[in-house]
Amino acid sequence: MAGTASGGSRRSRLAPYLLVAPGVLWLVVFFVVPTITLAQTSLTGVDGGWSAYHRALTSYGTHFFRSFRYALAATLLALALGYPLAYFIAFRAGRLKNLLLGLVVLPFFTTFLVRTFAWKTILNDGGPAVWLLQRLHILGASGRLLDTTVAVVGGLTYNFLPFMILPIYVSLEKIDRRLVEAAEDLYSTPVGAFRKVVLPLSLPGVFAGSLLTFIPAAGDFINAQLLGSPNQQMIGTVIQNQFLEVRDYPLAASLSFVLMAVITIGVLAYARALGTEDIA
Amino acid sequence: MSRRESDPRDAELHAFLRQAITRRGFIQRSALGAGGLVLGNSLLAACGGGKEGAPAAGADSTAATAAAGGKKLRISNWPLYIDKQTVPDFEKATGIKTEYTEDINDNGEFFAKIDEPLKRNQSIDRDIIVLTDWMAGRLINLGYVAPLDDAKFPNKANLVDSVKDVSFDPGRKYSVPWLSGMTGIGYNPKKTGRELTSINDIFDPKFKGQVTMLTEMRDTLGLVMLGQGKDPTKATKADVAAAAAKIKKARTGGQIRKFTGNDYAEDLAAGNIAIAFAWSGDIQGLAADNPDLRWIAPKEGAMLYSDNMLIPKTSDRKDEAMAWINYVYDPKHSAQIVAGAPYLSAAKGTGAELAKIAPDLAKSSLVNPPDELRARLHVFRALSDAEDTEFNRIFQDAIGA
Amino acid sequence: MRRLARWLLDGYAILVLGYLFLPIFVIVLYSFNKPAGKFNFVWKSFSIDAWRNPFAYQALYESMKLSLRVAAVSTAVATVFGTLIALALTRYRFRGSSAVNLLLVLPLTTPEVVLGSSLLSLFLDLNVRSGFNTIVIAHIMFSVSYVALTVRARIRGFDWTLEEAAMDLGATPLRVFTKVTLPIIAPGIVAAAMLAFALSLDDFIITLFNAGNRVTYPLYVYGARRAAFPPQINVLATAILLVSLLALGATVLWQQRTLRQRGMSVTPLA
Repeated sequence: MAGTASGGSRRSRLAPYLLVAPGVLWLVVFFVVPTITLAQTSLTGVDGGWSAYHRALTSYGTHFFRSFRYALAATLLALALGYPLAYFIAFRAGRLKNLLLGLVVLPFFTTFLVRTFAWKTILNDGGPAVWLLQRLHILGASGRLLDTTVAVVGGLTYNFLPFMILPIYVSLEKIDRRLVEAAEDLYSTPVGAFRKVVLPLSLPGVFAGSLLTFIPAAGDFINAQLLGSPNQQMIGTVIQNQFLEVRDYPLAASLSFVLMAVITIGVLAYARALGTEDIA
Repeated sequence: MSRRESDPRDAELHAFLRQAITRRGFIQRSALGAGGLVLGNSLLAACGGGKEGAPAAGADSTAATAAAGGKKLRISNWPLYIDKQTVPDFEKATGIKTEYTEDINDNGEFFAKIDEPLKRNQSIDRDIIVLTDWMAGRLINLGYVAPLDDAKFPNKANLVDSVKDVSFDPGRKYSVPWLSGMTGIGYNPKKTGRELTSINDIFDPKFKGQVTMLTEMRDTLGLVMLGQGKDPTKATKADVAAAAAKIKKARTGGQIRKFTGNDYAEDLAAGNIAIAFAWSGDIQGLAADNPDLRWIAPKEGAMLYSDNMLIPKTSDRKDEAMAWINYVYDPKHSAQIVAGAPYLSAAKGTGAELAKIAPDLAKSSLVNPPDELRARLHVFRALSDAEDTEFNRIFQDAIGA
Repeated sequence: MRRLARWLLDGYAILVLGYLFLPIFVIVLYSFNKPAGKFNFVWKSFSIDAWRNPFAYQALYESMKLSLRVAAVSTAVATVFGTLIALALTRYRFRGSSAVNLLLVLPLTTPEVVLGSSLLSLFLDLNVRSGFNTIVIAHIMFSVSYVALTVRARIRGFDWTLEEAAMDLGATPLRVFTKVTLPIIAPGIVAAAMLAFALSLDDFIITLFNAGNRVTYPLYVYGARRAAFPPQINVLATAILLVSLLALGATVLWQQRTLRQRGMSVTPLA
């Protein structure tokens, strides 16, 4: 979509390679190489070859689907919560922009564990959240929030919210304000102006934010562990257990690769659906 | 979005560019936002804490100490498992500089960290590590640890009888306990409505959904086995399968709310659950704020776990390590440790010394259990690698959905 | 009508912000708790004891210092690497760009336990001792993708003809970059840096494998909870928040000052 730099000088033909070199080299050495070793491990299953993959797919299909469901729910929720806040910061916050942006990231400066303990305090059976929901008759007398799907998805959403907000903010913030005003003049409702002008321009941010939320959420292991019951166990926890407790390395490796493959294919499909020309 | 489309905008474009080229500081202003966060927090870090702690210096301090003449003793232990005086006292008494790091927080995770280096005979920069029984057994079987030098360990005579000989380390050639704890039942009598006495109380349908068990395989399987009349010290695969089946049935039936590490502690304290398989040290720690909570060793028995001191085979400071191990087995010193970290010591005479410095603690059966209680404690049978993996698989299948 | 829509949006946004800070409020609150025992789960009584004795747990503070140092270094490097990649991918069409795209996404899809342990194996193969450097290397590795994707969302749609126009006006390529391109994409870079910083501070499992015997803040808290969870942890968390808040506020005020001095508006394009 963007115009690319014209210019056929030798310098500019080399330029992209020089620019990506440091980061790519870093990733190749510290990610690709270790991953290749992992791939080798995945093929050393007890029954040889692809047996570990076979086991991964047959025994843990439920966990995969569950993880994707939770990650999808968390991403949609994060979008619903994060987009308006990003919009607010970009267009309505004026001088306080950077301050608010900082506030969005601030909760991350306490560790995950400290934040989650705080959530447990709030969501405790005898705590304020349950009390309120019981008053509103949303929860029954013996209802609870902790150790349920709600708590796990809530935890995922909360912990990945900044990853949704920041990319959307950066793509919103650069939209020319005059464009928006012109659009509002053209379309009679603010919603129309939003739909036709702002939303399409913010899609790169939505795309990036969705990726940065969905992908790590799908592989997350700690939210389900602390906030969920065994019925909410996600594939990340399974991989963790297989790796550290059972020490079935081929199975853990093959589970990891299946996860990576499925997500990557999903991302490709998503990119095509949104109409971007490349994968991310 | 090209701005070349409409003519009037060209003028604006040029005006903007002229502005952009001459305006300074935009980058600085934005960078300030991120930089401020970093700087501000770094300042805080600089202000906080007194001396630049020894654990932070790492390689540099090792070189410095070596230059100073002595070899530094590097101990890795679980957090909050020691009092504040023992390390300085030891340094004064023996002249051995000690670097005490609290970086062990899970057996499996720690093993995964040291497995590769030890496999290749590479140093792990530690001279003493403290790991739970079954993990100690695994290290011993893999040949990762050095034998203890009994000649430098006269205080070995103080070793409590019940742990003098264990299945994973016959004769205690490679390990001795640092501190021990008991796994039993923690519960709130106000929520259960009655006193509990048996392991099988946890399966009482009256407590459906108010019960948790541990993710620690040996503790959970061991207790359930005891409830089924089996002996965990002689656990067979059939025993394990039977216990796992019972657990699985309870889970799918909704009896068990979840399987936890030690996060059951806050669930008990908050009233989310009524009963948990619990470690005695946790209930001891909760007691002051939650006087309702009780810990019992059920009538069928309870599990004993010890965290054992081991010397990695790659350590080049074995003499210093033995000095530490001998030092802490003096009942005076072990009592001091227990006073700061209320768990069980395996050194005889600790109870008497403890009564002198912390009489209230000495009266607690969770810290100073009477012999009758010690007799009812069991340690899970040592497993081979293959059994460990297989039992773990069965267990994970039982507790996971 | 438009004003109603505005107010609804404002209100909703404030609510979301409130949601973000709900647990923070609890954390700050419980730093004033006075538990008699070793855990901090149940509210007992209000007290500033923990605040008066914040350094009671030396190792806790050492771990925080380490985490901040690691985060500072890894954020700086990852931001540079990621921004360069983002620039290259949006500015140029070149062979291998899809591969680079894929390379960016893959680390995100890999489970952390696997990322951490495979990296450890690599270090051992290369005979590199685990410690500060390996932690930083690992953090840079997983941050680059986040930075690149975030900055790219900003650059997408950037009108590169602006650069040509600037050069027509007589600016050198370097000047063009620093005076034209960089200011426009700067908010993206700053946001990405903040993300990378937060990621680094919060990372647990990858750090666990590659920390050697160093202990970062998350590692300490995870480990400590087995034995105790003192209010000092909340005190430290609150202190970090306060300092960050002050720093943020200071930059906003500084921004105001310099802008007022130059009589310029806040945003470059409006």
